[in-house]
Amino acid sequence: MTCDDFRQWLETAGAGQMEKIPDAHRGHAESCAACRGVLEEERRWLRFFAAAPEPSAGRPAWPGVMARIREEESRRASLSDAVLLFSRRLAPAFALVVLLLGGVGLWRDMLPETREQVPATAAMLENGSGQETLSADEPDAVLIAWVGARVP
Amino acid sequence: MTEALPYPLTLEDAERDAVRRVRDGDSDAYRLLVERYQARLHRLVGRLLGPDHGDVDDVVQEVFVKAFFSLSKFREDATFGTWITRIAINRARDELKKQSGKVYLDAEPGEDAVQGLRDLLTTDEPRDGEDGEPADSAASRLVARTVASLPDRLRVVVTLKDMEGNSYQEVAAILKCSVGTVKSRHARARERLRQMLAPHVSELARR
Repeated sequence: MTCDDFRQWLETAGAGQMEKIPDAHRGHAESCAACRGVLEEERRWLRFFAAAPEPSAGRPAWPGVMARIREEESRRASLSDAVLLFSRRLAPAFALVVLLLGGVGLWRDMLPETREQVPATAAMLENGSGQETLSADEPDAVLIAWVGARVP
Repeated sequence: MTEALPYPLTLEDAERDAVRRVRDGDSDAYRLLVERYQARLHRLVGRLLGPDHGDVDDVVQEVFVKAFFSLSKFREDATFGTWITRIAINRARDELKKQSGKVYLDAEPGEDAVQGLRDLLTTDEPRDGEDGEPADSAASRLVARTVASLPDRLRVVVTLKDMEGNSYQEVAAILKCSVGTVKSRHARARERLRQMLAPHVSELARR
């Protein structure tokens, strides 16, 4: 029996095993002062923790647990019912919106292609200095005009 | 007449069977699991929350309810006991965070408590205090307050290892960390306890 063997045993030994130390370990502790000190320290710690008050037994948990589970289940069920009801009403409305948008899109595709001018851009182009020619096709035309008016 | 099982039913088999039945929608099977673990969890949560906490029953019930609705996530790579102990520890930690203040060890714990603790550490004989109260009862409160004043992480390890009697391996499985981490936290926890008690009790000092 080495000190390592003894301390490894001590690490795994619980409170019950401290009272009945195997002979080999007891023999080692008697002959090795360092291990005897470690064993005594471990015993004091065990006594220290054993002195902690035992928490009261508590009420039987099952009735309360069951009631809470039932409550939570019915809450979840009513929540999913509400979602189902909402989705049932929402689905036809959503389908109608999709149909309407799709119809508008088709109608616009069927019209002859026209060049659109953004009203604000058109107004700026008309009121501008006329030094530079800004095209309404240019997406940043408004921004460029605005910056140009401020930068010397 | 009941049909004989092909093999003896151990508690572990019965537990696994109950878990499967609950998963299949038999919520009454959960009763077996609740009754098996309620005392253990009550003791553990009571110790983790400390002597000044009010309703341990309520916290324990919440743990069982949370476990019930999370059972689909239980992968059986640990036992149900390990898994629900982990849930209980996390719930107790949340509860500790909610508590208004930390528990501090009294600067002067009282002569009776100190003497009672000294006696407990050196002998198994109980001793009566001056006011008729058993000295080991005052000492018990001192032990509980000292442990409760440890930081959460250290308190959990000490509670699982030294008070609940789990091995390092079992504590590591519950906390999902390495055995080395558990050993290191355990050593730090004992060192803190030693420091806190040093002004009053020299018996736990390193020799």
